Order: sequence, then structure tokens, then C-alpha cells
Amino acid sequence: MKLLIVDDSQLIRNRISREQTQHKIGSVYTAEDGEAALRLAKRIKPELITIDLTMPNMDGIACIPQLVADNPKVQILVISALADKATAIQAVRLGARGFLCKPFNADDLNGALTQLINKVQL
Amino acid sequence: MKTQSITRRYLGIALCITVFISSIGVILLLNINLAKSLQQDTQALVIISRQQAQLESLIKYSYNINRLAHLEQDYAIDVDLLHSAFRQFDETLESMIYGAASTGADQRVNELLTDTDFLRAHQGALTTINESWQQYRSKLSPLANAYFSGYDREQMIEKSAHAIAASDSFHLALESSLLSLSAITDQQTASKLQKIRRIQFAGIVISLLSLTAIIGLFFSQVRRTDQQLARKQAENREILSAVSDGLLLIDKQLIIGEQISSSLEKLLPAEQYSGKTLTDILKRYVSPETLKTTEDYIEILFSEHVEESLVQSLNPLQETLFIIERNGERVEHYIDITFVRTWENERISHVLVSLRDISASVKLKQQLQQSNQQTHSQQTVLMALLRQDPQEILDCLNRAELSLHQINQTLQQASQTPVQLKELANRCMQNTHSIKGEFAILQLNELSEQCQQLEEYFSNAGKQGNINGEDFITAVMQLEQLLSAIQEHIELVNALLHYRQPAVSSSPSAPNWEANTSVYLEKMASSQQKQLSLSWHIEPLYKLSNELARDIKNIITQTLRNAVHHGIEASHERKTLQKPNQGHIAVQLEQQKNSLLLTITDDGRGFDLAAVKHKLITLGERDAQQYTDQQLLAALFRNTVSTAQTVSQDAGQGAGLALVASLLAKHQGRVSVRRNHQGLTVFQYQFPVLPNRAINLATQEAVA
Repeated sequence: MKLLIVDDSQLIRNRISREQTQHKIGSVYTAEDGEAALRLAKRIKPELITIDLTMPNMDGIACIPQLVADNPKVQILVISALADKATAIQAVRLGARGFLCKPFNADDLNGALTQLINKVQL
Repeated sequence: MKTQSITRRYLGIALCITVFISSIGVILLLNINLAKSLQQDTQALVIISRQQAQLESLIKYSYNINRLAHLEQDYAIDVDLLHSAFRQFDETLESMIYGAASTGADQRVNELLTDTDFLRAHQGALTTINESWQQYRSKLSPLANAYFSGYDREQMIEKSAHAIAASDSFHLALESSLLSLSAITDQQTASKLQKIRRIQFAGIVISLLSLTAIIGLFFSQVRRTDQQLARKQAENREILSAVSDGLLLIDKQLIIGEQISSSLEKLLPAEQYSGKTLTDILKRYVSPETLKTTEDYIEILFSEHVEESLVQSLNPLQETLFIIERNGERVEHYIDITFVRTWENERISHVLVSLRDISASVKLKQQLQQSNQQTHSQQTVLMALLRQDPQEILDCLNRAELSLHQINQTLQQASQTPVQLKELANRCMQNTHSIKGEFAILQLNELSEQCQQLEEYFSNAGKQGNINGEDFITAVMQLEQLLSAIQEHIELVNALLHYRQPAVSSSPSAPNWEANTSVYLEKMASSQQKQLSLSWHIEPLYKLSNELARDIKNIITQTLRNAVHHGIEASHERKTLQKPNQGHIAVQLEQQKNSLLLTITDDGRGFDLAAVKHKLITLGERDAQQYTDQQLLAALFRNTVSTAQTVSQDAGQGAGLALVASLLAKHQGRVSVRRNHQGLTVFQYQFPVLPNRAINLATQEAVA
């Protein structure tokens, strides 16, 4: 399984990467913004993506529909500090399959990733 | 279980249908069988009549041959015809007896004679016919086969005479046997026809009976189903009328189903629900943004691939505030709206929406938060008091109260034009901003935050394109909250001052308040290049009830601020007027028999009545031109009349005397303003002493 982490914060990218061993994720890729994520996703075809909503160049809301168009089966987890429900609803409508608010704790992240990984394996 | 009961329910109908179909099948089979048999009988009749005709021909050709031989004419054709008729009769009879196909004169094969039934049924008659024929045949055979024998004329005459003689003895027997066979067959045909009629009649009766039974059973089933449905609907209605939650069902198009709970009408009043969309109902209560979010959310609800847990966590209508209008009154309700998806064949067919009024628990939660906040704000005030001059804090609070009170009054006035409202919003924003600044300096953070919210509200309202009076409803509510918070602070500061003073002075809070007010007013005066001395004689004030004492203090503060701001001239001005540099104000409170008399006297310039008149005229009071001096002075106690040319934090908006007027009204007090013979301005306030207040006074005096 391939995981793509899209976030402009190095800290968050590192934090999520650490989940690799626990969840037996084959390889982890990272991107700093939506445009880079789209390019990378086309090449590596990840099954699982975590994405931030506020990023330079192209934000998450603009990026999600294109990621889904490239691979309708991709499981996208939005990890964002934009905690309002309208944004979350918008993201899910566009194709996200999970939503996690920043700041999150280890259990939250673990639970959200497990749920999506189970769906990938179905 | 369910399938079993359905099978049992429709067993009667299924049985009837089986009977119906099988009876029709049996009748059809019998009919076919009989018809076949009838067809055979008809064929038999045809064959028998043909045999009769052949028999006639045999006699006719025998006579013809005999006659032609006698006349010495050619009889060869008749010999041929006789041979043919002889052979056909013989073969047909043989096949009738032994069962073989025979070809008739028309060359059609007679299938009948392959049917052994016929042979069995008519064996006796056929044997009799055969016996007679065999005898006749032996006599006729030489003539019929003459062609092969090569007989001469004489021989032919002889043979034909033999045949004619034989025909005389056998023809009748054969003829009558054939006739009787034909009659029997005819009779059988008639009886078979009768049978067919009976079977058909019985068939029609059975069919009609089963059909009636089917229809009867069907209708009784329909009635039973209807009754069950009605019972279920009644139960549903009962549940829906008893349940306290508002319940409704929506489909993918958001259209509300027919069954809704009675509580829904109480929770979200609307003229009609069924057939309307959920957004039609909600749009009266929620903002367009929330409505849009709700629509998007419902779209997700109907997406089968979105997980249940995710869907539930995204619900945008949990603990939502609804302002419900009932009998012209607007009431706040917190309603929790939850959505449950109903699945049918792995598709989401409907969503059950349930609404629950959770106002009580939300309000309890808010109260708890508020009480926490209050504790916190008390701590803040305590900290502020340790750092700042308490009197300064009190003054700031009083000023803020006054200013906000004025804003509140203006907001609640009748509708104004959008331009005026915009201007009003901007003015309110500025005032709130200045109050916020003061709170911030004194580190009264709670109040400063509340002001900030209010200021933002006014700022947004001012920027709004199409503003109307209703836009201020929230502001008024926030403002009232802020005012009550300020009052709590004032009480708290007063209480804390009360605790602080016994150590300093034996007369509780008395000179301290006077001293603090003096210091504050002197500071205010000096900021306006004025000098000031105050004399106080207000001892009865400290024996009054808290509320009256606070209000009288407020009246004194407002009047003094007014006197300093408007009355007392700047030092250089006083010099040219040959007045002492220092302005003087005397405050006196006297206990009279049935009243309290507060007199405030200053040696300032007095009222600029011409300016008051001018101000009133610019405000639209045209009659002001004819006002007496008393009427002009009375106008000062109305809101928003100020003769000051500059507005400062301390005074100038004309709200001070308006506040005094409202406090006077509260205590049924009266005011008179005059200029005495020494040229001093005298404000005199009189408060009647009410019975409860008198008791209070009496006990206080007794203690003293």
C-alpha cells in the first residue's frame, strides 16, 4: 500500500509518516501543496492520501476532486485546522472519506487511518 | 415467518385458482375426446351410406349386364363398373370388420376403420352383414370377375341371372343390416352430443363457482389487508402524536413524507410539511449559509459509500439556535436535529429526521459557563482593584453604563431610514470602541471582550448594503448582556470598596466616595484648564438603602460632571469675569420630614438657554422658539440634547441628564433648576421617602 501525505507543514508530514510501521504501509510519499500532490499521485497511484485544506498554490478543496477523478477508489483523509462543519461537508461531498481536525492526538490519527486502510483492503 | 404467513393468507386463492384451471383442463380433454369420437361416428355414417350406395350399384349393374347381353349389345363398361363396385364394397366391409384403412370413391383414406373401438361396438351387426355378404358374394363373384374369365354372351346371361337371383334373396337382408348399423351409430352420436352439452354445462358451472370463490377470497383478502393497514396507520399516528421528538421522513429530493409527529408543529411551526422540502421549512429559521451546508450534508447522507460514523460526525444541525415566533413573541430554542439513514436493498431510500428541543440543557450549560465566567470576571476585577484606583474603575463603569444606556435607547427607537441606521451603527461602533479602550486600560478584560464583540457587530452592520431596524435585535440583546455585566461589576466594586473602608475610616464608605469623586472631577476639570473646589454635606446618603444610595450617587456624579463640563468656566475666562480662579460646587443632601432633598449649587456660567433653543430647533422641535425658560430647562432632561460644542469621554453627548431623568422617574423624584439671586445655578432634586425606605432610615438611625 502507498500513502501520500499532502501538507505544507514539515512537522505534520513527519508526524503522519511515523504511522508507516504501525499500519504496515509499504511506502510513504509527501507533497507540500496541491499541485505537487496531483503530479505525484498521477505517477505513484497511492491508495491512501492524507491532505491539508489550506496550502499554497492549490488548496485541498480544489485538489480533492482531481485526485478522485484520477483514481475513484482512492481513500482521502482530510487533516485540517479548518474545523467548521461546512468545510468538512464540502470536502466529503467532493470525495474525501474521512476528516480529522488539527490539532489531533495519536489515537485520533490512528483511528482515522485504520478506518481508511480497512477500506483499501476490502 | 413472514413468508409463511403470506403463503397461508393466499392459500385459499391459490386452491381456487388450481380448481379453476384443472376443471377447465378436464373439460377441455373430455370435449376433445368426445369430439374425436363424434368425428369417427360421422365418418362411420358416411361409410355406411356409401356401402348402401355400392349395394344399389351392384344390383343395377347386374341388371344392366343381363339386359345388354340379351339385346346383344356391348356390356363391357357395366362389367367394369360392377367389378369396381364389387371390389370396393368387399374391401370396405373387410376393413370395417378387420380394421384397416380403406380408400373411398373420393380417394380419401377412412381413418375410422383403423379404430378398433368401432369394430368392438358393432361386432354383432358387422358379423351379420358379413355372413349375408359372403353368400351374396359367392353368387356375384363370377359375374364381377367375368372380365378375367372370358365368358361368352350366353354365359354372361346365365351368370348375371344368378347374380340377380341372389340379390333378390340377400339384398334386403344386407340393406336392413346396414340401415340398422346406421341407426345405431346415429343414436350413439346423439347421445355423445348430449354428453358434450352436459360436460360443457358442468364445466361452466364449476368455472363460475371457482371464479366467484376467487373474487370473494380476493376481496376479503384486500379488506383484511386494508384493515391491517388502517390499524398500523392508527398505531403510527398514536406513536407520532405521543412522541416528544419532532419526526419526519425525507426522500432524496428532500421532500417530506406524509407521516410526521405532532411535536414537529410545536418545534418548527409551518403551515404545511407533507410534500414540501426540508429546506422550505428550515429557511425561515436558519441562515442561508447553514441552509446551503444542510443541503450539502443531506446529499452526503444519501451517498451510500460515506461511512455512518463520518456522516454522524458532520451533522451541521446539532444544538442549533432557532428563533421561533409564537403569538408575535420571539423565543430562542436550541434544537438538536439528527438524521438516520434507512436502507432498502443496500440503497438509502429515506432519511429519518428527528428534532429534539434541548433548550433546557443548553441553557443550563450556558448558565454554568456564565457562572464560571462570572467568577473569573470577579477575579479580574479584584486584580484590577489591587492595581488601580477603585474610584476610577467605578467611574469608568458608571460612564460606560451611561453611554451604553444611551445607545440602547437609540437602538430601540422607531424605524429609521437606512442612511440614518448606517450613521447610527457607526456612532454606536465609535462609542463602544471608546468604552472598550477604557476597560482595556483598567484590565477589565471580560467587559473589554464583550465590547469588542459588540463593536464588531456594529462595524459589520454599518458596512451592510441594505440595513434595516431588525438588524439591531442581536445588538440590543448583546448590549443588555453587557449592561448587566457592568452592573454586576459596579456592585462588586462597591462591595469591595465597602470592605476596604472600615480600616481607613469609621464612617463607612462616606468620605472615601466623596474624596474619590472630588479627585476624579478635579482631574476632569484640570484637563479642561479649569480649577475646582467641592464641598460635601451628604451624610444622610450613607444611611439609605443600597439601591437608592447608588442611584443618588449616580445622579450626583452626572450632575457634577455636567456642571464641570458646561457650567464652570476655564480659569482665564473666570479671571476676565472677575470671578475667583477656582470654581466652586456645593453638594448637600438633607433629610426632610417626608422627603430627601438634594441640592447642587455651582458658580459657573449657568445654562446657555439660547443655545438650548437653537439645538432643539435643529433637532426638529419648531415650537422651541416659543418655549419659556422652564420648558427649555426641562428639555435638557430629554435624551440627546447637548449644548456642548465638543464631545469628550466625560460629557457632551447629552445623555447624562437623560439618565438622571430616568433615575428620577424610577424613584418618583422631582427636579427643579434655577438661577438664584446670587447668580448661582441650583439643581434641586426631591425624593419622597416611601414607607419601606422610612423603616430602613429609622433602623439605620436607631443603630447610629
